[in-house]
Amino acid sequence: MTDIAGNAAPLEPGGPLGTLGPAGDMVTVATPVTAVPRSAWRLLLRRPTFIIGAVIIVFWVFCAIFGHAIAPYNPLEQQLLFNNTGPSSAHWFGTDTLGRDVLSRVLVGARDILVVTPLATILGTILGTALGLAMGYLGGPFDLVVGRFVEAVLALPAVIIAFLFIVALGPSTTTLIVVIGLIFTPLIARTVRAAVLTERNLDYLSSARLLGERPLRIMFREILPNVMPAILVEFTVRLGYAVFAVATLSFLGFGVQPPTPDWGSDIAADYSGLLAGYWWQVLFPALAIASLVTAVNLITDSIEQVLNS
Amino acid sequence: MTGNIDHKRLGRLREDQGEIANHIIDEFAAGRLSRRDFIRRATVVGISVPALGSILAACGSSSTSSGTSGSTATATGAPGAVIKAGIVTPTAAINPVTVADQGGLDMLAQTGEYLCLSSQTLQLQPVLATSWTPNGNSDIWTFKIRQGVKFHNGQALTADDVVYTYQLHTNPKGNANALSAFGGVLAPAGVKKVDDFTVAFHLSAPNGNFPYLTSSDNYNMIILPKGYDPTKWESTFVGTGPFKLGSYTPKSGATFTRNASYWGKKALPSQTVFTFYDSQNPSILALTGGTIDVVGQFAVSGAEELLTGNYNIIKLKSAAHRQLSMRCDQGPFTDARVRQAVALTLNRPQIVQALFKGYADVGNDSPFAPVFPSTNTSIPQRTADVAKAKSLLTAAGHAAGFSTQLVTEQFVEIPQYAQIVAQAAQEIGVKINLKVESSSAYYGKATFGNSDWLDATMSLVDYGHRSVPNVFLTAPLVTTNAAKGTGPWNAAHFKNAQYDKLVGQYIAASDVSSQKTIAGQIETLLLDQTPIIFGYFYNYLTATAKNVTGVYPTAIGHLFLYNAAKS
Amino acid sequence: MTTDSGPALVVSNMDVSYKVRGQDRRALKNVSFTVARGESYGLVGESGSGKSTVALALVRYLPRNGRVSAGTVSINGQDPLGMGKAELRELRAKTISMVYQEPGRALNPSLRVGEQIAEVFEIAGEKSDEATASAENMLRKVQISDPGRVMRRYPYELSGGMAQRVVIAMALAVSPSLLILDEPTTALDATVEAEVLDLVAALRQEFDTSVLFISHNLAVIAKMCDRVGVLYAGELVEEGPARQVFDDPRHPYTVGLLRCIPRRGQRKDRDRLDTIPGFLPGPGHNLAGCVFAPRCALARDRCRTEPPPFFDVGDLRTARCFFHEQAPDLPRATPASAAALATDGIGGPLVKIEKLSKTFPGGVQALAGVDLTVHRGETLGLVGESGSGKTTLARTLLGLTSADQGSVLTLDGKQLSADARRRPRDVLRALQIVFQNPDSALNRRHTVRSLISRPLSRLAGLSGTGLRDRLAELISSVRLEERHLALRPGQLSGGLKQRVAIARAFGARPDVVVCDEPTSALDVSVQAAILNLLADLQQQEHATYLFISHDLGLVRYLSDRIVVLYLGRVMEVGPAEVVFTGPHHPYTEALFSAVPSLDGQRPDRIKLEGEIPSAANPPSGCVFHTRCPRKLSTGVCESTEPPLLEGEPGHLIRCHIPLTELRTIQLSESVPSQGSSH
Repeated sequence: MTDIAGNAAPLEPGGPLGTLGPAGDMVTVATPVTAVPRSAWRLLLRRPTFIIGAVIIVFWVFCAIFGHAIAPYNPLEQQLLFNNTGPSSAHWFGTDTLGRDVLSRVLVGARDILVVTPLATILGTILGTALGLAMGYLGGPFDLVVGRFVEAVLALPAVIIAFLFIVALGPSTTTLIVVIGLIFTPLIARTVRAAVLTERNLDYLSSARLLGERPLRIMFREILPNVMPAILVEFTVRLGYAVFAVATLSFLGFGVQPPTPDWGSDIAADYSGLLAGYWWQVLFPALAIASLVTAVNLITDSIEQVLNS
Repeated sequence: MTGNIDHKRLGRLREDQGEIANHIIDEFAAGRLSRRDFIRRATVVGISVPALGSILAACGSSSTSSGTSGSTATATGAPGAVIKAGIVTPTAAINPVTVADQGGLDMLAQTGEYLCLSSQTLQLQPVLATSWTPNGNSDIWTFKIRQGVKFHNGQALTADDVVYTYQLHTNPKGNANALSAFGGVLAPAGVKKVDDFTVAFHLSAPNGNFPYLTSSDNYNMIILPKGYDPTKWESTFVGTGPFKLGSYTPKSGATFTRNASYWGKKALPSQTVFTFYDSQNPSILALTGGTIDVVGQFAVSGAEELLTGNYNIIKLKSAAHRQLSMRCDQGPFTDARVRQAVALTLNRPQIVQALFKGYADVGNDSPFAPVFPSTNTSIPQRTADVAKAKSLLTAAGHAAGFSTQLVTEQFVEIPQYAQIVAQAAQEIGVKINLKVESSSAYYGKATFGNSDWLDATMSLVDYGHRSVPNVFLTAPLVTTNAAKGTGPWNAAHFKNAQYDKLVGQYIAASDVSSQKTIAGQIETLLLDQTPIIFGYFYNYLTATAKNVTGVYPTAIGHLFLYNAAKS
Repeated sequence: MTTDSGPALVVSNMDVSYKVRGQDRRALKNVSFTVARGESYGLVGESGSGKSTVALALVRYLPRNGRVSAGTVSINGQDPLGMGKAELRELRAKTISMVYQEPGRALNPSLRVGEQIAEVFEIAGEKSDEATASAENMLRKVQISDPGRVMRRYPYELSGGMAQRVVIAMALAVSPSLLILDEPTTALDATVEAEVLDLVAALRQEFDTSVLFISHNLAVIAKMCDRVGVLYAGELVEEGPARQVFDDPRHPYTVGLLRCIPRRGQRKDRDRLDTIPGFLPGPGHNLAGCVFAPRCALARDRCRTEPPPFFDVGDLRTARCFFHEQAPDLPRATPASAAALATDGIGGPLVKIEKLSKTFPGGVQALAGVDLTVHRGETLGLVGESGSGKTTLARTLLGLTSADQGSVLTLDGKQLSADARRRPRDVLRALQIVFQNPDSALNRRHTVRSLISRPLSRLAGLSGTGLRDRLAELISSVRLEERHLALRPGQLSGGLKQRVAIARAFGARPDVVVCDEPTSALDVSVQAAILNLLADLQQQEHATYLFISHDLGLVRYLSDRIVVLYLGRVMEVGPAEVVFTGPHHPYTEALFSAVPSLDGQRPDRIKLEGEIPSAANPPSGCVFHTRCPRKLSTGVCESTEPPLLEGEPGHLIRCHIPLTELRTIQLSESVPSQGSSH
C-alpha cells in the first residue's frame, strides 16, 4: 500500500494473459512489448522532438549529398586578400584565414562527418553486439576474461585509445571509422551483454537447447532479435557520441585532411583566430556540430520513449 | 653610402686596427659594404665602438643613428618596475651545457652573460669581453676579459672562468649542445689563458666569424665560475648578469631580482617575473588581460589582436622560415622545370600578407634571407607567373598536370600555407593532396626511411632562426652522405656537385664581399634548380603593453629586460 | 469518521474507462456492490474481468489514463472520488489498507522491515519507541515467531510468505475499516497460502475489519468470503452468498467456470472437463446485449440485443441473465465422457532415475538421491512446495541442468548424457517439455510457423511436404488455426500461446513430455481446454508425461502415479488414487489439507509450522521433522533418516511411522496436535 502509487497499472493476476494491465487488449494483443512494430513509426512521427531532430538530420544529409550544388562559393577557393572578413551579404558566415567562404565550407563539410559517424557506429554496434552476445550467452570463463578486458579498456580514456590506434594506422577517414567503432565496441558489448542476461533465463533458450541448436544459431537467431530494441537504442545513443568523437578527432587532426571542408578540422584550423575576434570561423562549424548532436539526441530520446511506452 | 672621405683621418684610424679590420674599413671606404654591413662586420673583428664612430665620421657617415648603440645604450624609463613576461616553457632542466630550446636559453641569459652580445642588428657588442682581435689569418682570436666583474656568489671573474667554461662546452666527449657549433672550429686544448684577464682561442681552422660563437648567438656560452657543476645550475642560476635568481619553478615560472653589485649599468626593474606557457593563446590572453606585460615571442597566426595598435610590437627580421622541398629523385619532380613551375605559382606578397599581415619577407627560393649581410640582393626576386609555369610544365611533359602528395605538420601557420600551395598548384593542373600530421609523427625518427619529413614526395617543414645561413645551406641541400654526415636533412634529395662546391667556398670565405659573390652564384643555382621553395622569412615578434619600454629581444630567442620600464 | 454503523463500502453504478490512443475504453460498466461492516466480500473473475481495476478505482490509484467516468463510491461514508490530495492521503493512511499479490512491491527494498512497519505507526501519530514496540507486537499478531529478528531484516531476506505477512501486518497496523486484498496469495505455495488465508481470517475476527477479497481462485473465495460477486468483462454478472453461488450458480458464466475445474473423483480417463468456448470481449467492446452472450450456449436473440438486468434469484442473490433458471442446465461445450480414453497404454519402465542428486554452487542440494521410474504411457505427477526440487528434477532429466556425479539417468535402458548438448538427436527428440510460462518458452520474435516447424525439421528430420503435412496435423490436433501460423506469440492469448508450446513439444513425437506447471499461468477456463488437450494428445501419441504441478486437483485429475518431493527427496510414491485416499505421508497429508476446496468444507487443516528449511543446510534425520505434525517423541525422526518403504504394492512412504499406524491416525483423528506421539 505504500509504493503502488505512480506505478503503471498493476498486473492482473494469473500471469501473462494479463501482462498488459487493464488498459491492454486482453485476448488479441496488438502491440508486442519489445518489438518495434509498424505503429511505432506512427508514434514517432507524432513526436515534435522526433520531427525536429529528423528535419535537422535530413537537412545535413541533403548538404552532404548536394552541398557543392547549394554552396554559394567553391569551399576550396582561396581569396588571400579577403581573408578573415566577418559575415556580410557576400559571405553570410564570413571568410576564413585563407579567404574561403565559411558558409560553403559548413554546408559541404557535412559530408565526412555524416559518412564516418554512422559507419563507425554501425561497426561498433556489429562488433559490440557479437561480443556482447557471446559474453552474455556463453558466460563462464569467456565472459570473465573478456569482461575483465572490456573493463580494462573502458577504464582507459577513449582519447588515449584513439591516439594509439591513429598513430598505428595513420590519419584517414577509414581510421576514424575503425577507431571509433573499436572504442564503441566494449561499450555496446556491455549493454548487449546485460540485455542477453535477461534473456538467458527465459525458457525459449532451453527449448532451443532441447532442439540441439548450435550456440551460434542460438545467439543470432534466437537471442539477437529479442535484444534488437536494446541494440537500437544503444545505436542511436552511440550515434550522438560518435558525432562528438568524429568532430573531436577531426579537431585533433586525425580525420579528413585539409583543404577538404570538415567542421572539426575547420574549427581546429581557425580557433586561434577567436582571440583576434574572428568568431565566425569557429562559431558556425561549432553550431553545425551542435545541431547534429542535438538532432541525434532528440531522435534517440524519441525512439527510447516510444520503445518504452 | 660614402660621402666625402677624410682619408687622412681614416689613415690614422687604420693604424690602430689589425689587418682584417683594415680590410673591412677599406671595403667600406670603397663603397663595397653598406654602412650597416660595415658596422656589423667591424664589431665582429673587434673594432671598438669609439673607433667605429671615428671611422664612420672619417668616411662622412654619421655615427649617431641606430646601429652600434642599439637599445642597450639608451634607457629612458624609470627604475623600479616589476616586469612580468610570458615565455615558452623550457623543455628540460636549465643546464647551460645542454639547454637547446628557446625557453631554456632565455632563462640562461637572465642571470648569465656572454663574452659579447649579438645585437638585434647582428652587430657584436662587448659584454664580459672588452675587446677581441684576430691574428693575421684569423685562426687565433685574443679576448680581453673585463675586470672588476663578480659572480652572484661573490667570486671574481677571471680568465680561468672563461677557460673553464669554454673547455666545458668544447669537450668532444661531453654532451654540450654547443658542440654542433664548435665542432671542427675549437677544441678544449685551443682555449688558452694568456694572463688573468686575457684568453686566446686557437682555432682548428681559420674562421672570420669566430666571435659570433662567443656571443649570445651561441646561447649556451654564458660564463660559469671555474669548477661549477653545470647540472646544479638550475638551483642557483649563478652568473654575472644584472639580475639574480629569485625563484625558479620548473614548468611554471621564475622570478629575478636586480643585482645591486652589477659591474655595469644597473638594471632598471627591481624584479622580473617570468611565466611559462606551453602554447601561444594563453600567453596572448594573459597580455590582453593585463596579467603579464610582455609576450616573449608570438606568431601572427592567432595573435592578430596584438597587431591592432594597442600593443608595442618589436619586430626583428629573422631567418626563420619554412622549406617546401620536392623530391628531386622522384616522380615528376626529377625535372627541375616542374619544380620551377610549382614555385612560380606562388603569389608570395599575398601569402605574406594573408599569413603574417606583412610581418615577413618574401623568400627567393634560397636560404639567403634578407637579414643576412652576405645575401646577394642583386639576384632578381621570383614572382608569380602562371603562364610561364604552365609552359615549363608542358615542356617537361606534364601539360595535363599530375597529382602528388604533400606531407606536413600541424604547426602554427603551416597547414594554411600548405593549403595555399595546393590551391596555387591547381592553377597549373598539379593536384596536391595534403597529409597534415602531428609534428612528432611527421618528423618520425628524422632519418631517411623513417620520417615523413625526409621521405615524402613533397614536404613542408619549419626552420628556426640562425645568425648565419650556414646550417640552411648545408643540412637540407648538400648531397647526402651518411659516412661524412653531410646533408642529414636533405628532404629534397638534392644532389648537385656544383652546389656542394659553392657552399664549401662560401663557408671558407672570410670576408663579406666574397661571401656575397658566392651567395649570388648559389642563389642563381638554386633558382634554376629549385629543390626547395623558400616562400618567406617571417619576423621575430615580441609584444609588450603600451606602457612598457626598453624590452630587448633577439631573434635567437632571448628576452632582455634590464632596460625595461613602465610608465 | 462519519458513521460506525453504515456499510464499509458502497459502490454504485461505477464505470471506469481507460483512454487508449485517444479513445475511451470502458473497463468497468455499471458495477454496484456493498460490503457490510465486518463482512468479507469476494470479487472473482478471470484475467481481464476488471477486478483489479475495481480495487484501484476505489482508492484512486488508477493509472493516469484511467478514470471513474460514472457512479459513486462510499467508503465508511466518505467519497474518495471527490477528495482532495490531503484528504485522500488521510483516507489511505487510516481507513483503507491494501495488500497485493507481490509483497515485494509493497515493501521498500532499502529499509529494514522493522523501520517500515514502525513508520506506519509513526504516521498514525505514535512516538518512535512506541511505534517500534507496536510494530513488534503487530508482527507477533501475524504469527511471526521471532519478530525482533525479522524486524532487523531487509525485505529481500524474507521468503514470500513471510513478506506477505509483513505486508499484512502493515496493512492492519492502522486498524483500517476496509482491507482490500488483491490476489494476496497467488504467488505463494499452497501450504503458505493456507497459512496466510487462516491468518487473514483470524485477524478479520480480531480486528473486525471489512474485507474486499479479490481473486481468480474460486476455491480461495469460497473459503474466505461471506458473499461473492462474479465479474465478467467489466460487469458484475452474479452476486450472492458464496456458498450458494458456488453450489448452485445461476449465471451461465459462473456455471461454465465451475465446470472447468476438476472436482474430486474426476479423472482424465473418465471425465472430460468442460470449457467455455470463445474469448473474452476486449475492453471497450460494443456489445448491445449481454456481455457473455457470444460465448453462451443458452443465448437467444434477446440476449444479443438487450442488456439483461439483475434478476433476483432468491436468498439475497442476483444474476444478470434472462435465462437464469436454465443456467444450471447449460449444455456442455465438450462431451462429458471421454469414451476412448482408456489407460491401456501403460507399459514397462521407460525412464529410470537412480541416485539423482544435484548440488548448486553454494551447497544448495536441490535433489538428494532421488530414485524414480517412469513407465511407458503413464502420467507421473510430481508435487511439492517451491524448493522441493520438482523443476530441478525435470531440468536434470532434460539435460538442461547437469546432475551431480554418480547420478544415473536412463531412457529405454540407455544411459543419458547429463548435458543436452551432448545428447544425440533421437534422445533430444524423445524428451521434450512444455514450460510453465509460454511467454518465456516461445521466442517472441519468431512466428508460430517457425516455432512449430523447427522441431519438425531439426529433430524429426522433416522437410517439404512431409513437414507441411505434419505441421497441419499438429495445429489441428492442438486446435490452432491456419491463420495463427503467421502470427507471433505476442499477438496470441495465453491459451493459444500454450497450445503453440504444446505443438512444439509434440512436434517430433517425443516419448516423454515434461509438463512443468503448464496451466498455472492460465485462467481456469483456458486451463480446462489445455488439460483436455494434453489428455487427448497422450492418447493419440502414446506419450508419457511427467506432470509437475502445485495444484493437487490437477495432479489428481491427470496422473496415474504421484511422487511427492520435499527438500529434494522423495517422500511418497504411489498410484494416484492410493496417494490421495491415504494413508499418506504426514507431508502429503499437510499438502492435501492446505488446498481450499470449492465446497468450502475443509474445516480442519493440518498445519505446517514455519518455512521450508534451506536446502543448503537440510535438517538431520528426516528432513521433514522440523515441520512434521506427527513427529515421534522417541527422537528417531531427528536422528535417523527413514527409508522409503513399500507399504502396499507400488506405494512407498519415507516415514518412521508404519503405514498401518498412519492409516489409523489419519482415519480417526481430525485435528492432530503438534508432536503428538503414537
